Amino acid sequence: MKWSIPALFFIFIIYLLFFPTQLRPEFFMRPSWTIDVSRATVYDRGQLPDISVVPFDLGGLFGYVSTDGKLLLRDQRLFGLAIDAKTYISFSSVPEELVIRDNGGRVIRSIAASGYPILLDGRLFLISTNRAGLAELAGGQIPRWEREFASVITDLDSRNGFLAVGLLDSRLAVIDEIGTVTLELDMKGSRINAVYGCALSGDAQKVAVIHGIGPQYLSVVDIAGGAAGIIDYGLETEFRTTRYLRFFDSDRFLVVEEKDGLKVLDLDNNDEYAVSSEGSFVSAGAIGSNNLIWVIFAGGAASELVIIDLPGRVVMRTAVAPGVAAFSQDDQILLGIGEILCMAKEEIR
Amino acid sequence: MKTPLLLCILLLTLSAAGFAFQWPVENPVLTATFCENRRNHFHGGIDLGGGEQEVHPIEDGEIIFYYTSDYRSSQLPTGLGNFLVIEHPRGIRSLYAHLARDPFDFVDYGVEKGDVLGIIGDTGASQGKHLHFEVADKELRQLANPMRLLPELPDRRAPSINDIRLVPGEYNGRRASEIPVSDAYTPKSGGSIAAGVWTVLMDVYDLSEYVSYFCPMSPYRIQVFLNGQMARSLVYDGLGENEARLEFIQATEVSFANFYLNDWLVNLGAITIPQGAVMLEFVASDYAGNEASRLVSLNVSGR
Repeated sequence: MKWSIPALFFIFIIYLLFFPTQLRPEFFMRPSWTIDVSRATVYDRGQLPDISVVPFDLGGLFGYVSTDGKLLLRDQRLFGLAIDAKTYISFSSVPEELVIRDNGGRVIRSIAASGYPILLDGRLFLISTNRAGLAELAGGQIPRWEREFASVITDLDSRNGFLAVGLLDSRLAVIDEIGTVTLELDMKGSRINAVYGCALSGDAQKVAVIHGIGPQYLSVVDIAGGAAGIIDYGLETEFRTTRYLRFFDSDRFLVVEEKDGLKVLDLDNNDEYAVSSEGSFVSAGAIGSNNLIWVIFAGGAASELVIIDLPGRVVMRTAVAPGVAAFSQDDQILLGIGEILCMAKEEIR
Repeated sequence: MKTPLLLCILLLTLSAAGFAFQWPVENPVLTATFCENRRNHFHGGIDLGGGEQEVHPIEDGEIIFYYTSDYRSSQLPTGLGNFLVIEHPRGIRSLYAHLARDPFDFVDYGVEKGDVLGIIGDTGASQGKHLHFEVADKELRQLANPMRLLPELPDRRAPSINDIRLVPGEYNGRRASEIPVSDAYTPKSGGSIAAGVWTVLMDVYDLSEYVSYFCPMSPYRIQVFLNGQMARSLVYDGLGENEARLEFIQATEVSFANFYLNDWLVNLGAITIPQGAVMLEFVASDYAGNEASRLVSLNVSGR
């Protein structure tokens, strides 16, 4: 008996040595550089041809910065801004013409304005100022296709050559590259029928739709399956404005805005996870090729940046300044606060 | 033909039942009407000025959508500025746009006629404070002319027919920009033209009585009579989807693309003018029933 306690302790030590408890890797974002956009030197884009660039939009100032911290373009936005890694269009509230520029600020072309520009998945769309018409621009002045609706457009998403259009009159339309409606569904089943959000999967084979009030549903539609391929999820909270909804991580996860955070649906395992926040959802994006996403919430006690290892593990949660904006590029995240840009890179130890 | 009929029935039913839609502002200063030229689309509603007035629902209902121009990344740019949409009974939805900033602070989303939705503002694509107001029928998927549903406004001024032109040939369904206006003939009494198909263009507007500045607006109805028989009629009652375009519900194939040649010059479509002495009458009416007309007698020769 007197040897039993030391013996058990010895066995426990041996067990720990041979079967150590695996600690979860600690995730953090290491700042790479910081610049003050209003004061930083603007480098000539022409002298840095192969540089990797990230667009930023700080509300007033916008532009491009290289991943190693060189400011490549700085401009002041007008009423609105459409920007992606290659091109941008800053436009007034009543635009006469739209000037499309490359990420070095050079004019690519000008077009007569027939709406506000939206850059989605490398495509340039125009949404009419009454928010009831759409057109896609390719090379010339004449749109590749145009379409008018007798309804307010509530949301758009473009993937793999297709465009999903959500309409307040409860229709969801999927439009191909030449403007043909390849799928139109009337999302009914609620006391009030309307579409509040839509998202296409990366391969455009699935479309997710948030629709209705009383109750509000999230429906995932297998496009090939048509109406037979619809899976409905009831949502506990209801939005009466556009509600964020996007596919992530090879379309396995659907991220849905909630009033107190967000919800992640694991479509493969039919599970759902909640990530709470005191603030309201502002924006989200993927980091690198892992299952990581960043999310900005604003309001409440403070704005916060949350990094989630999908489906639902929060690996970092940090308070950020109000009005912070975030943009991701590969495994890096660019944070904009006021007129300061800070690039941070994910690290795991 | 079925949907125009349905909308007419709806309008008549609502009018006959004395439906108590009210103006969304106490002092409606009408500055733009339905189907005006908005460069790339029809004006889908009416505009009301009159300064920073309170905006009320036209009838009891429930707010089903709102948009505020905040910083959320998922929202689309919109020329409507801050706006909201209310669903009323019988499938009618009303939209109130360009509201002043931060207008929405609702305890619940049910609204009654006396409630204040916001204040007239100039958010979005707006060149002055005004309320843009639309009515949609969600079942028919049509935009209805709000002036046909709201109480009538007094108006003593007739529309103004500024110009009439006849273009040889048929240009129905073609882009207005393709119509060779340079070939147009301005009909005058005693003039001569060849018999055949002519496309009728008319420059017409109705001046607002409610502002002191020059404020042209679309009329409500345009008609062309040939020897006393109606040859063309265009009534601004509603817009419905056909293929990829919004078209006049009572004159299908009339879409924005083939209707407006400039701000007020419109393509009324083609008529066939027979040989002989011909009387053409062009009539434009406003919402109060005021009419302007032009009568032209022509000598029409063989082709």
